[in-house]
Formats: sequence, structure tokens, C-alpha cells
Amino acid sequence: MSEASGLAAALAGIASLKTAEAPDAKSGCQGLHTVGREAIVEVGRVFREAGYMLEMLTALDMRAAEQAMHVVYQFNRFGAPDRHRVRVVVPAGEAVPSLADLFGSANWYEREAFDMLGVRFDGHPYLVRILTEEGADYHPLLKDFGVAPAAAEEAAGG
Amino acid sequence: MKETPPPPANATTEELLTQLGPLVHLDVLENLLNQARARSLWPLTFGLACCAIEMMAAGASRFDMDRFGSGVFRPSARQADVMILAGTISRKMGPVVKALWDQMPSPKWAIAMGGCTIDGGPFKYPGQYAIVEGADKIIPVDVYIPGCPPRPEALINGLLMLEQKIKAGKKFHV
Amino acid sequence: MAELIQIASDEDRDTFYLNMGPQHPSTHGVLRLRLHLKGERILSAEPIIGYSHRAHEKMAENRNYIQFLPNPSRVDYLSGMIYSIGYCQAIEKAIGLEVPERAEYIRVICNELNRISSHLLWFGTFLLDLGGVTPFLYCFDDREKILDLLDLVSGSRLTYCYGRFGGLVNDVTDDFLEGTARFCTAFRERLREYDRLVTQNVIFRNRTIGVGVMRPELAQQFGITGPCLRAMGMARDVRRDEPYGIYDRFEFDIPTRTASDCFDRYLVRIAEMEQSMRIVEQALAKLPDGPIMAKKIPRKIAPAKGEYYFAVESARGHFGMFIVSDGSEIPYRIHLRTPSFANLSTMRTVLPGTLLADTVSILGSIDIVLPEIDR
Repeated sequence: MSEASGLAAALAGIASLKTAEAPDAKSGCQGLHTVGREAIVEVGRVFREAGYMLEMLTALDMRAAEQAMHVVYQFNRFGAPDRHRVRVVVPAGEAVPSLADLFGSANWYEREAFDMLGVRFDGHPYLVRILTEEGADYHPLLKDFGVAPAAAEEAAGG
Repeated sequence: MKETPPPPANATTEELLTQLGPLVHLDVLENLLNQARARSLWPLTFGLACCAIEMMAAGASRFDMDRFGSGVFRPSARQADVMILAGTISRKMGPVVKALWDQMPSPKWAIAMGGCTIDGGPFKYPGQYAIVEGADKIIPVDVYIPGCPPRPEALINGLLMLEQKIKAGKKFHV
Repeated sequence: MAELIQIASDEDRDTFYLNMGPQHPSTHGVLRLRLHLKGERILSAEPIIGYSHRAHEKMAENRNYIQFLPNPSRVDYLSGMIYSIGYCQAIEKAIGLEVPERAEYIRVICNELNRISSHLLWFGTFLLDLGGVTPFLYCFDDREKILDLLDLVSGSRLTYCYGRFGGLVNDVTDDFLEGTARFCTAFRERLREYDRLVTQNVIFRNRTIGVGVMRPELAQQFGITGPCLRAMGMARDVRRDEPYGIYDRFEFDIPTRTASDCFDRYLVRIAEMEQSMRIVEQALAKLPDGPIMAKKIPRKIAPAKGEYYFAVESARGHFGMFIVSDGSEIPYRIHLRTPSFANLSTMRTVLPGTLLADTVSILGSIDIVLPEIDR
């Protein structure tokens, strides 16, 4: 328990970190946080020192509603889950500091987020496309890529 | 076929030959070769996705593709006769498939196994960016086997169809 | 012309690059490795993935939750049942749907049978990579028996779509239950046979013991999960840590080893098959009667606006689904956190220093499924 409270204290020391009220069980998380992008490396270091792993990293295209991309980091520890979802809101087209120095897994996760959604990560050692074909010039998971769902349904005859 | 009575014991050589018909058959050599080719198809060890598991199952104990002479999977394209395209061809993989096909020596055949290699199968939708919708957009395909994935029996059936096609000797990709 | 030819320095005269894959019999699909070698020794390794990228996540944004149901079992086709039912459970949790008892038990039986069949296929191909053809034929024989059982209830051999939101599509027959019980009895004996055939084999031991050791700190750095993690001595299993479905009602051990080499990963998986059978037998004994579908299933599957995360233990490790809903019937985003992606990314650290021939055993021992990595 002391470990968890140590983590909470360390997280409270980060100025731009805002922690939401206790999330409900459906979210699958024990803690939801939002942090400014300049502090994400600090947050990563806190979690790393507490023995947490970077379980998931992805991005969301929220440009329609907020003109911003959300980068979602999910930290978890081994054993009984203590899952913390940390969100960084970044204006479209701007970069986020990379966690690749802290977590080995961040290297590929960030490449994937770059490939799929075009989020750039500052300080990444090798930020190139990972999944799409060579020479691709698109970021497929952006909402304005491809056909809108309604149009797709029409085209499929549905 | 009409039963021919056995030749009498004291028959002369000339009489025997008349009864047996011509000893020398004249035919195109290609037809003879095709008989041999059809019965020893060597597939390329090449799995793309889910269908590859069913291809392995077809080669393993229960289904045993080797009964039809096509169980000798070759890891090198240079030794293979038939390419079984088992699984989705992504756009990144497309050029690789083409390169492998070009490396195979003629005569060669291709089997498109599963919906993905026929037309994109379950991954086909307007706006799909990641896959090649149909193997025949890259290489010529001889036999199509539908299913997602096709059962091993279906693959064996496809191979037998390819055998028939080869024996018929009408089509070659050079 | 002369200035075009660069004379190699003494250091890099005997180093070279080797491309392995995407068509290579031991990369289990379409993985490509770019290896920098000095003789037989690997200096650096870079896995290149994406050759099986099929845009599952984009597809999720183009269709509603029900239409996405056939996809998860094609993400990881070896543990398709676990993925497909896991997706159902994720949606059920998000919309608050209760599943009848009988369906829960059948789900557990099918999941564990699927786990055994996945491990069996891994067992066969792993040994095939190491040059042993016989075990491959043995384990496919057993695997076919499981596929027959699952075929009986779900109608497909590989890419199952057996689960539905709120239950299952078919009830099981007596044939299935009797067949499963028979299989468990017969398979125990077969496992002992495999043990005699493989585990004590000198060639196998020499090629796996002490090969491909993952240092313990990699677990946290890379988020390794599944049998690879358990071979490091950490008894972490989603079924135990955050039980989903009714996994908290069963008694089973989490097999662990400590050396974290290829041999230990092999032993962990063999022991897991044993444990899966224990779970199957308990579930068969306790299987209640009753309906297999929930009574009230909403016509529109639309989770409330928000973000959901749900994890299951697949045959390869922690499979997580991150679902973002905007309150409509079409998902705003579904991100699939797949175990092999993290496990494979360790290869850049693990492979350097090993021999080229060991690459094959190391890749085989982490049990990768490429479409699950590329999605």
C-alpha cells in the first residue's frame, strides 16, 4: 500500500497533472490523469521508478471536437492491476516528447501511433512507419482518411 | 475395354505383336511430362495468415496432402512448382509475393486459398487501404478455393482440380 | 570508377547484413528480420513488421459493434475463441449485460480447449523449426481432436465466431461434453508421451537451454506478458490477477520457471496445457443447466460515451481492448493491445550476441502470430 501512496505523492508533485475523480469499474482503470505534454517524461519516470510498465500507448483523433490529438498512455504494474491512464492533449500537428528512453516498448508503440495517426514524438531514435506499406503518405486512422462510415454503407448497398 | 484372349502358347513373335498393338506410342512429350508434373506438385512453404494454419493442417497427420504427391513443401521459391497463397496479401506484402512468383521456375501454378486472395474477403470494404483485394491483381491464379478459411479438404480438392488442369495441358504461364 | 570502390576497413570487413524473411519457414508467417552479423554472431537485429497489416482498427470505425464481431478471431487466429469471446465480454461489461451461468461455463471450456490447441500448434512448429518433424505430426493429430470438438459447437475450425453479446450462439451437445471428457483423459497420456519424446532429447536441450535468455528487467521495460513472462519467474496471469468471466471459481496453478530461456518457455507452455485441462474438467463437472443467452439484449449495442478497457489472457499473453465510444452504435476507436507486439519488440535487445542458428529457436519460443502483431 505504501508503494501506491508513494506513487500518488510523486504524481501530486507534478504541477500540470490533473487526476479525475475515482473512475467507475467499467473503464478498467484505477486512475485517470491528464497532463501537459512537457511533463509526460516526468510522469513516465515516476511510473518507471514505481515498477510500472507501459502497457499501452495509442492516440485518438479528436480534431473534430477539440482541434487536438489525444495521446493515451496506460501504465500498469505486475500483480494485482493498478492501471493508470494518462492523457496528453496535443494540438494537431505538434509533437510530444518521446518515452523511448524510459520504456523499451514505447519505441514501437510510438512508431505505431505515428504511422496510424501522424502524431510525432520528439526525441524518438527512429520514428519511421512501422505497419503501412513503404512509401505510404497517409495516416489511416485519422477520421478524415478514407470513406466516411455513412458513405461506406451506401456504397456497400446497405 | 474389350478383353483380349491370351495369345496361344505357340504364337510367333509377329502374331504377338499384332495382338498387342503398336509398341511405340507417338505423342507430344509435353503430355507425358504433364502427367508427371501433375502428380508431384511441390508447394512453396509460404503462409500469409489464417489460411496458412489450415494449409499446415492439410499437410499434417490427418489430411496428409502427401497422398497426392503434393506434400513436399519447399522453403525456396526456386524449387517450388505451385504457390499456395494462403491468407491476406497486404499491400506491403504484394511486391514480395510478386518477387517470389518471379523466382519460381516455369512451369508454375498458383492457388488462391481463401476469401482474401479471391477478392479481399472479410477485409474488403470501401476505403480499405491495407490489402491487395485479390491475388489475381498481382499474379495469374489457376484455382480459387473459397472459404474463410477453407477446410483442409477444400484445399486438397483444389489441388486435385489443379492436377486435372495440368493433365489437360492447355494452359501454361511462362 | 576507382573512387566508387570503397575499401572496407579491417573492422567491418567480416560483418554483413542478412535479410531474413518475409518468406522464411521459421518466421511463422511474414516477419522480416534485418540482421547485422559478424560471422555467425548477431551484432544487431531489427524486426520489420507490417507485412500482414489488415486494418482491423480502421474497420472497427467503419461498422457497428455487432459487425465487428467476426474480426477479433482473425486478429489472432490461433486463439480465436479467446479473442472473440473476449471481445463479447468487453462489450458486455461496457453495456452492463449479464450472461447466464451455463454460457459462462461453456465459454471457459471452449477458451481452455482453444488455449491447448494453440499451444499444441506452437509445440509442433517450434520443434519443426529445430529440425524435429515427428512431434509436428503427433501434435496435429491431437489438435485435430480439439478442432473437431470446437467445430461441433461453433461450426468452424479456426476462426470462431461462437460468442454473442449476452451469451453464445449454440448450446453444446452431449457429444461435445463426452468428447471433451474423453479428450482430457487421452491427452494426459499423450502429454507424458511428448515429454518422453522431446523434453529429454539431447539435441533439443542443447539448442534451448541457456539460449535466448530474457533478462528480468526487460519484463518491465517492454511489458512482456504471457508464457514469456512466466518463464521469468513472475506468476502473472490475467485470469488470476483480474479474473474475467468466472475464472475466479476455478482452481488452477500458474506454472512458472526462472531461467527465462527457450527451454523454460517450452516447459511453461507444456505445464499450462496441463492446467487448462484441470480447468476444463472442473467446468465440465460443474456445468449447470439453463439458457445460453441473456433474456434482454438491447437491439442497439451502443455503450455510453466514455472509454473502456478490458483484458483477457490469450495463449500468448495480455490481450487488451481499448474501446472509445461516443455513444453511438459505431465505435469511435477500438485499439487492440496485443501481447506479441510487446514480446516481439524485445528481439532488438535479446538477439544481439546470440548465434544466427539460435534466432530460429528464440523466435519460435516466444510464439508469435504475425497478424496479431500487425493487426
